[in-house]
Amino acid sequence: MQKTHEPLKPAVFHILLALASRDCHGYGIMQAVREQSAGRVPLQTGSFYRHLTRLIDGGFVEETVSGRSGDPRRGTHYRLTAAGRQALEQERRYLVDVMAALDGLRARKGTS
Amino acid sequence: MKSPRDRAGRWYALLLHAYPRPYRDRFATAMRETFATDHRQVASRGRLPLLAFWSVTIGQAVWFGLLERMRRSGRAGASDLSRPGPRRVLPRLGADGRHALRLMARSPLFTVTSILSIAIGTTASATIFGLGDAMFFQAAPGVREAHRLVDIERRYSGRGHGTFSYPEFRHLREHSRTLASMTVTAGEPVPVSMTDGPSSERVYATIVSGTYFDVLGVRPALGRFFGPSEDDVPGQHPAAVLTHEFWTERFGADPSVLERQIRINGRDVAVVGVAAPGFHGATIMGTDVWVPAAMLGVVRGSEAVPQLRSPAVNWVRATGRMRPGVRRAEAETELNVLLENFKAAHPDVLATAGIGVAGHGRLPVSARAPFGTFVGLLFLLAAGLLAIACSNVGGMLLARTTGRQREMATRLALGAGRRQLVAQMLVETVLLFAAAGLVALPLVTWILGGVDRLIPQLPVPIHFEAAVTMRTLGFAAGICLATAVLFGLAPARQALKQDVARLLHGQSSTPGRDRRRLRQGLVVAQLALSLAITITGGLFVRSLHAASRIDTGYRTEGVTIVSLDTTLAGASGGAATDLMERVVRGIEALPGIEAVGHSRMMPMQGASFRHQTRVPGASGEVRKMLSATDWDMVSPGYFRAVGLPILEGRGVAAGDLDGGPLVAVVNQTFARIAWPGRSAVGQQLHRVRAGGADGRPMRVVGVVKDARTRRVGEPARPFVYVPFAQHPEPTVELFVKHAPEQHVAADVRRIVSAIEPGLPIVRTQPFAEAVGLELFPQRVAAWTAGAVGVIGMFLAALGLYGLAAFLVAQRAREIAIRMALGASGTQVRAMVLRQAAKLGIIGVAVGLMMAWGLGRMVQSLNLLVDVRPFDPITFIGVSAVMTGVLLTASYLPARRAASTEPSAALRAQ
Repeated sequence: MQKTHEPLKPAVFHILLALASRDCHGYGIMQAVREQSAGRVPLQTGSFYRHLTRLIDGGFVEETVSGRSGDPRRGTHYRLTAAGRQALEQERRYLVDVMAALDGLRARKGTS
Repeated sequence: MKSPRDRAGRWYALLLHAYPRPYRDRFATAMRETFATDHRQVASRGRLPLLAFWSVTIGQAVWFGLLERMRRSGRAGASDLSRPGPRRVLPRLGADGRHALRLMARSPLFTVTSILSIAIGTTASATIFGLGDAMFFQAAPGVREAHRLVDIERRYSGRGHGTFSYPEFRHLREHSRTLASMTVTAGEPVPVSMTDGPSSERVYATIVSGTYFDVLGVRPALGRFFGPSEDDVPGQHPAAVLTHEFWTERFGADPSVLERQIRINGRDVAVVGVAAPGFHGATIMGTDVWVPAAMLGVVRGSEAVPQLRSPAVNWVRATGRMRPGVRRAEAETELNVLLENFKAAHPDVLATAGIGVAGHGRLPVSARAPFGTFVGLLFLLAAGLLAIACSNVGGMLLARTTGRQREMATRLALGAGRRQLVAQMLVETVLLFAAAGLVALPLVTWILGGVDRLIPQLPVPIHFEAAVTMRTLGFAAGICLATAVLFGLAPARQALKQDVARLLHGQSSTPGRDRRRLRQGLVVAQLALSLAITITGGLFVRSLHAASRIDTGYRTEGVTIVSLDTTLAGASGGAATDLMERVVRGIEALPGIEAVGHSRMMPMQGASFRHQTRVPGASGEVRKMLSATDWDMVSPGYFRAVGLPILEGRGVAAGDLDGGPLVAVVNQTFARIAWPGRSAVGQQLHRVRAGGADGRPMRVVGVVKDARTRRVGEPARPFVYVPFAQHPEPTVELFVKHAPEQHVAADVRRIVSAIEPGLPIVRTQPFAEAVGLELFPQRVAAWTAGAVGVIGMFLAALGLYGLAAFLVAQRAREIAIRMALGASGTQVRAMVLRQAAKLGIIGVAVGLMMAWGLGRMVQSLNLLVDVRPFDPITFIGVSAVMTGVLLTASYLPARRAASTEPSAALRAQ
C-alpha cells in the first residue's frame, strides 16, 4: 500500500534538488538554494545545517570527503543517496500531479 | 588583513557551543567553513546587512542549538522533513499559552512583582540603549544616506580633532575624486542680533559653505538653498536660510518672508529659503538660521574676513559625501595626498598636519569616545539592574519548580514528552517576560521622548531628539526573550530532573541539591551586583561632595548671572560702555544689592578666551607658559561681585577709561610666572594681535587671587583682566551679588528695560547653577547608580528572604527533630542565620571586588574628583548597610524556624 506522500518542506526540497546534479559543499548548496528559489528560501548557516542534519540522519544525503582537484582544504562535500533520489522523484511526481490538476482547472474555466 | 574575518570566525566558533557536543563534533568544521564564506559575502555589502546577518546567526545558533540539546538522539522520521500542517503547531502553542496564563493568574503576587521588576530592568536598559542609538547610530533627521557621509578632521602627527582653514577646504573640495562633494561649518552656532521691524532679538546663526545642504542631501521646504558660488566673495549676496521651526515661531509660517529682507547684525540679508521641518543640521547643535561663509564679516565682525583667505587660520569643520563604491580608507589616503600638495604651496601650514576620516555621526568626533564610555557606564548599571531583577525572578521560578514536581512526575508518567514539557514551561517564562516587555515599551518611549527636557542649560543650543527606532524596540524585545530563555531554562530542566518513582510516592527527591545551589548562586549574584552598584553610586556622591567643597576662588552664593548682548540694542564700543554703566548704576540702586560687576566670560563653562600675551624681557620658557593666557574684560565692581580678593595693588577702577592709560590686573599665577620674586605691580605686558604684532603696552596695577576659570579639577592658569571701558565687548555677563534668599531676576529685568527697552535679557541663572554645569555627568551617574543600587539591594534582600524561607521549609523536618531533642530557639535561629550569613559573606566579598573594578573604570573616565576608587568610607559604609539589610531579611525566617512546634511539624511530614 502506497503511503500518502507528504510534500517536502521547501528548504529540504531545494537542498535535494541542488544535490541532484552534482555533489557540493555546504556553502555551494546554500547559494544554489537561494538562487533557485529566487530568494524565497532565505537559508543561513544555522537553519541550513539543521535541515541537512535531518537529511543525513534520514539517510537521504551522505557526506563525502572530496579529494577532487587535489584540494584538501575543500573538505566536506555532500551527495544524494539512492533514498534521496527516490524522495526527489516522489516529490517530482507529486508536483506533476498538482500541475495537472491546476491545468485541468484552467481548461475547465476556459471552456465555461 | 584577515583579522576581522578571523575574529568573526572565532566568535562563530564560540556561538556553536550552543549546540550539544556530538552535533559539534559532526558539523562544526563544515559549519564554520560555510559561515566564513557567507560572512565574507555579507560583510562587503555594508554595516546594516551585516547587523541583520549577525542577529539571524546568533538567533539561529541559540535556538537550534537549544532544540538539538532537547532532542532525543535517533533517526529522524519523515515527519521532520515534511511540512507540518498548521493544525499541528498552533494548537499546542495555544494550549500551552492558555495554561501558562492560568498559572500566572493563580499566583498574582508572584506574577505582578516579577513583571514589575523585570519591566524596570528592561526599561532602564532599553532607554540607555535608545540614547546611545540616537547619539551614535541615528543620523540627524532629514539627512539622506548618512552612511555615505564622513566627518573629516585635521590631525597633527596622527592625533587630535582639529579644524581646517578655508583655502584648504577649497583645495580639497576642488581636487578630491573620492568625495563627490565636501562642506564645512564653523562648528558652533554664533549668536547674532536679528532685527525685523522695531524689535531685535538674539538668534543663533551657523556659518556654512555653499555646498552644505547639497552634501547632506536635504531639500528646502520653501524657496531654495545656497548655491555653491554663494560663499565665494565676502559681502556679496547676503543670504540666509531659516530652520522650519524658527520660521514657524518667529514669522508665523508666512511664505512672504522670502520676499523680505531681515537685518542681521545691522546688515540687510535676504531670506532665500526655509528648511524642511525637523532638520536642524547634521549634528546635535541647534540653530535658527544658516548663513553662507561669505557673510563671515557680518556675523563675526569685519576683523574676521581675512580668515576666508588665510591658509593658516583654522576654524572650520568638514564633512564630505563619498562617491558610491569608495571606502573611507581610500578617501583618507587621497585627502592626505591633496593636503601634502597644499602644504607644499603654502609653507605656513604646519608640517605635522594630516587628515583623518571618520564615519559621520551627530556628535562631534572629539566627543564620541567620552560620551560613548559614559553611556556605556550607564548601560552597565542598567544591565546590572536587569540582571538582579531577572535573578530574582529566576530564583522564584526555581522555588516554584519544587512545588510542581508532582505535577511534572505525573505528566511524565502519563507519557508526555520531555521536550514538550520543557517547551511548555518555557512558554510560561516567555509570557512572563513578554508581559514585562509590554509594560516596559511605553515607558521607554515616554522617557526617550522627553529626554530633551533633561538636557541642562548649555551655552550653545542643543537640538537632540531621541527617536525610538526599530533597533531599540528590537533590543528591548530581544533582551526580554534572551533573559526569558536564560533564566527560564534552568528551572524548566530542574523540574524534569527527578526520580519519577520516588516522587509519586510522596518523597521529596534528592536532586534538590542542584536547585539549591542554583538559587544560592543567584542570590549571591544579586548581592554582589547590588553592592557593587551602590558603592559606585556612593563614590559619585562623595565625588560630588568633594567637588562642591573645592575652592574655585569664587563665592557663588547669593550671586545671579544676567547675560546680555549690547549689540541687540545697537550699542557697541563707547556706547556699550555707557549703556553698561547706566545698567550697573540702576541695579546697584536696588535694595539689598551688595555689588554689581560684569565680564565677558562666564566661569567654569569649560572654555574661555585665550590671547597670546607677551611680557617684555621674558625668557623662552616663560613666553611658552604665558602663551596660553586667558583674558577677560571686566567692570570695576566685578571682583567684588564674584568674590575674588585683590592681593596687591588695586582692581579695575572707574577711572580706567577709554583713551586713558591702558591698565591690566593679573592673577597670582601670571605674576609668579612672569615676574618671579618681584612685585607685578608696575610691570608691563602686551596682548599680541592676530598677525604677530604687539598691542599697546599695558601697565599692571594689581594682582588678584587665582580662580578656576574653566573646570573644577584643573590647576590655575595665568589670567589677565582688563577694564571693560577700554576693551568693550558685546557679550556681557552681569554678576549681581545680593542677599542669599533674594530673587533679583524680575527686578533686574525691570531696571534694564527701563534704561534701555531695546536690550533684551538673554538669560538669567544663579552663579552656583552655572558652575554646576560641569558636574552634570557626575550628577547623572550618581543618581542612576544610586537608584539602581538601592532598588537592587531591595531586590537582593527580597531574594535572600525568599531563599532563607525556602531553606527553612526544606529543613523543617530536621529542625523539628533538633528541637524535639532539646535544641533551643536561639540555637535554631543561629543555625538559619549562619546559613544566610555564609551567602552574605560570599556575596559581599564578590561585590567588593566588582566595586573595586567598577571604581577603577570610572576613575579612568575622569569622573571622580578627589576621590580614590577604593574609598574606605564608601566601601565600609555601604557594606555595613548591606549587612544590616541582609540580617533583617534572614531574621524573619530564622524566627519562624525557632518557633516551630516540633510535634506538629513532624506529623505534617
